Amino acid sequence: MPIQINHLSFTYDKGLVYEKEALKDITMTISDQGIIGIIGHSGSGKSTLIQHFNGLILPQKKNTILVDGTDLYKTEGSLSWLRKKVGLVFQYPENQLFEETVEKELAFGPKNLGIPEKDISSLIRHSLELVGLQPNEYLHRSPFTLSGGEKRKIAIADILAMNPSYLVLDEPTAGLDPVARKELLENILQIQKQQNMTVVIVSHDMEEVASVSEYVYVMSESEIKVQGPTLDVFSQYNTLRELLLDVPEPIQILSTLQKVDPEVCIRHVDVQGTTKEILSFLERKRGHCGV
Amino acid sequence: MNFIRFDHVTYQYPEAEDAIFALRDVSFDIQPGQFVAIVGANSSGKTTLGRLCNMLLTPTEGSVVVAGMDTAQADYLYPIRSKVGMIFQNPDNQIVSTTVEEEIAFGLENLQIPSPEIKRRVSTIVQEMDLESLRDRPPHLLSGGQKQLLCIASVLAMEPSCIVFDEPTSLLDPISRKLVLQQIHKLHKKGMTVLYITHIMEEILMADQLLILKKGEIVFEGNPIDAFSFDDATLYDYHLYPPQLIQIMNRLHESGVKTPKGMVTTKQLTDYLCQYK
Repeated sequence: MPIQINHLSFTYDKGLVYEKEALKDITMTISDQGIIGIIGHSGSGKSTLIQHFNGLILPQKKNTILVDGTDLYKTEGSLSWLRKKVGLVFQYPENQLFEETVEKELAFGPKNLGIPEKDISSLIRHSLELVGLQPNEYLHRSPFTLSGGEKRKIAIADILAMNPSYLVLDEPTAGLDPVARKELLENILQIQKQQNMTVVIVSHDMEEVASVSEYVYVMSESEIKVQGPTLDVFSQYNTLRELLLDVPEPIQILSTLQKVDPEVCIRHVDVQGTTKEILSFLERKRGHCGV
Repeated sequence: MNFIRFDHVTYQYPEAEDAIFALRDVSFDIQPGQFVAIVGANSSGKTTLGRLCNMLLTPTEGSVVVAGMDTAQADYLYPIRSKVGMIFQNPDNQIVSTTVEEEIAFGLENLQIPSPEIKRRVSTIVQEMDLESLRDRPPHLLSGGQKQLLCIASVLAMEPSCIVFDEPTSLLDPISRKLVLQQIHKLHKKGMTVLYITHIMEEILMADQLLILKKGEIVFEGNPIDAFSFDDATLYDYHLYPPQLIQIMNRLHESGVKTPKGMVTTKQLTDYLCQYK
């Protein structure tokens, strides 16, 4: 079952001087599996949107958000079922670490959700393994002695320990060094496959979104402006430029070459594919000169 | 004269386990007006290095001298802090006031600067930083980029001659990032000494000088463009990851297309390819 969003709008501080419309008529389906990217500038509404996914912000109208069939409008009682189903990892999640040891840190969420004590230990071990950290090596360390990349992974494992069906990551690699960043992205790809879960990545790093997601939503001025399979979206060079978004470097290079040679295909976001495309461009050019 | 001099500086956090050194025997000089980028893996000592520059930390061994003042001497705290400003990764960590204007005035009030002077400086700075229209806004209603500009404005109000930026753009989207980078560039042009800590490889290219840190030691000091000509193993070892553009050029090189050294933009590459024979 998906997260279904129908014509969702949201206004902050309604009726006040600083009233701000953060979402305008958003319709999207976060389906059962795979990795979905949401890109857009700061202030485009991305964070407001994802906070709707787990009920941190509740919809202002009926039938605008259905999580696995349940309408979130004026839901009665506790939302812990929703928090368990949709795991949300904020920007800089390591700022929220607070326990003395990694083990206690990871146990905090499941305990709060009332998961029986006897199951918690295996959940914790499993979630540490998922983020690529050896349980025996990390369980008894203080989270504050870890490196930035490790802390980030612990914070993600925190959420995985609650065994969510959806994992929503807000700028997961911001502030990590390039190697830690690459590692984390590979981890996320693996987690998605192993757990068969849906992962939503919110980012303004085009290269990052291009490298992992299968489907992309582009937000601007509180609306979804473009959506589609990743390569379809990124090859809309001009539209993205109009939205003042940076385009991944391979597409920048290939679309310039395409102006000279219409045969150049711009549907590449990786180094290998782009190099090949450039080499065939040069090949054709040489052939042309020869004639 | 050097503006900042690190002389065999070693730093160990008091609570650190197993005698891990955040910095080990680091020496370098920064000239007035220089733009120095500092890169390296997470926990390689970049932030420690930045904090030693304005006495948030003082060395365990060796000395840090800022504008002729040794940071080991407690009396120099105020003069050094007013010379060297600091901008952190997350602007929310350093914003305390309820409006943009008050935030800029906050540091000045602490320094007991007379109010007419505070008013004058605030007015000049909101204009310089394009924050005029946001003067009365509560900072929590600003975008990430605007918040970061506000932090820079608040530091500028104290008229420092050097600013240490600790990954100022890692939270920002590309547009806000450009805005902040433009302002930093402008400050540098006006003679500000800039220490710029970053993970974003493209940003390194703005600097005159690059320092690469690994496990608390300086492993490279030189021209930023040269750093990308290391082989893959060295780059990985330094936790650097060449931008896609550089990787593409390396692949082209392997296939016999000898792109000239020193190209750093996609435009330079496409211009070259279009003329390639």
